[in-house]
Order: sequence, then C-alpha cells, then structure tokens
Amino acid sequence: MLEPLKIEPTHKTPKVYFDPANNIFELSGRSIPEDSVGFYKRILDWIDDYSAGPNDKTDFKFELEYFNTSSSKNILELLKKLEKIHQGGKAVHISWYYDEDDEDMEETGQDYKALLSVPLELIMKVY
Amino acid sequence: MNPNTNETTRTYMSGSLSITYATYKDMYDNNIIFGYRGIVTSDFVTSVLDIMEERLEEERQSKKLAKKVFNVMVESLTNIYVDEDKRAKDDFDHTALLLVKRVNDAYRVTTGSYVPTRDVKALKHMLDKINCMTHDELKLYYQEILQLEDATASGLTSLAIIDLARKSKNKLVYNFKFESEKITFFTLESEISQKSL
Repeated sequence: MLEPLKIEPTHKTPKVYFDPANNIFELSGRSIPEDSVGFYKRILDWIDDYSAGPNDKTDFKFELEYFNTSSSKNILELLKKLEKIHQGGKAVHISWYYDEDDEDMEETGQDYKALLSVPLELIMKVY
Repeated sequence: MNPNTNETTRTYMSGSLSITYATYKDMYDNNIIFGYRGIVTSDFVTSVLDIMEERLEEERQSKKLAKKVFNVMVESLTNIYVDEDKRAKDDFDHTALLLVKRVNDAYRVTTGSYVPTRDVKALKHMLDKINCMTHDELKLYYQEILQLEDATASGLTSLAIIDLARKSKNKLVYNFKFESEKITFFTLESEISQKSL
C-alpha cells in the first residue's frame, strides 16, 4: 500500500491529506503558492503512483477557501488524473465544498464539473 | 496666538509633509480603504489578504460582498504579482500600485503596473473582447482558456482577467499610459457592488 501523503497547511498552501488505507483524500484551505507548479508536482506525482493501484472506490474531498489562477490549472490537472482512474473502471466520487456566501467557489466547481466526466458533487456549507 | 505658529505650520507643510497630508486627504475623501505602492511579492499577497479580511469585517458589509471583494483582490494581485526569478532576470520596473476604494454600496479594486509597450495591443484586444461578453459567454471562455496547456505568465494573465470580469460581474475599466517604446503603465479597475450580487 502506498504511503499516505501529508502536507501541513500554511498561509499560502492547502492542507493535503491522502490516506488510501482509510479512503481519505482531502485538499483544503487556501492555495496561493509562490510556485504553484512546484507545489502541485508532489501531489500530482503521488496521484500518479496511486493510479497504478487505486482503491475500488476513491472519495475525494475539496474544501478550498480560495485559490489563484495558477492553482486552478493544477487543480484541473489533479481532477483529470482522478477522471482517468474513474475511466479505468474504479469508482471515484469528488465532493466540492463551498461556503454559502461564496458563489465564486460554487461557480468554479461548476466549471470543473462541466469539463470532466468524473462524478463531482457540489456541496454547500451552511452556517 | 503664537506669532511663530504660522511660520511653523508653513515650514511643516512644505516638502514631504505636505505630500503626506495631501495623500491622506485624497485617500480619505475618496474612501480609499487600502493603498499600496511597491513590489508585489508572494509574502505581500498573503499579508494584504490578512489585512483586508480585517478591513472588510470593520466595514460591516454582508459576508457575500466581503467574500466577493476578497476573491477579486486575489485575482487582481495575481495580475501584478511578479516572481523572484523574473525580478532578478530583467531590468523592468516591477513597482505596482494597489488601491481598494469604497463607493456607496460598491468596492473598486484598482491595480496599476508597468507592462511592455509591445503587449498593449493584445491586452487591449482581450479586455475589449471580455467586456463585450455576457456572464454565460465569459463562463465558457474561462473554461476554454483553463483547458489550454499554457502555464506561461501571459496565459495566466488572460485567465486571471477573465476571472476578474466574471467575479466582479461588471465591465472592467482600464487605461494605458504610454511612457516609452519600452514601458506603458497599465491600470485595471474592477467594481463589485451589492446590487450585482
């Protein structure tokens, strides 16, 4: 089994917690890294390794506060890799959380949903 | 009245002190709630976002409007952010300006920065194209550009500007002030209003 990937959150980068043994895949917080490509490379590489032997079902949770344009491209890359796992015959479910006051995050989720064939559920967080 | 008062005041009001007062008055009269001139680094972006979170809370606007202003600021800062490698490599003036202004029930986020004069025509063309689009057209255009495998600075700028227009739900106001064959000062303003939410 692949080792979990844990990256602690900072003011600029999200919390990353991927633990296949417990079916936990979570990306949350803010994503405005100085070097977006560099930051996401580690995540994308890990997903490539995971793709070689994914769980029968992968539940992936995005709970982002905000992110910048360069992150949005990397997140699309990440989602495309999850789409490939789904196309390979393994179940993948993506939960895209957004605050009730944040229609921009909701719209971004709708954009990704429109561009991908992998199941992506938009979930409003009500306080 | 102390006969020296006028002299003292006159002395104090000369030079940089009078500029300070004029700048303060100008910012106060124009409801500028945040202003910055300098290099926009990654650390600056995170600091200014923290400050603005507090300022918007002080302004007691609706959470939805505050969130929207915040999101527009993130994209505006993306447009004027310059990474360290780029700053080290060229002799370009990367000083930028950021202003956040309140106008009745709306906020205007304005950025100013130098761009190469050779890029002005393409930028203007893109801004005019974006300003002619409906919200639905912008959504499709954003999705189209997002999928392009163009992670260059100009590709990201296009995406950030489209995103600004989408998020603000208002036409983008811009200006180019030609300075030389090499550089032009580019000003871009987005307005976020309560009524457009």
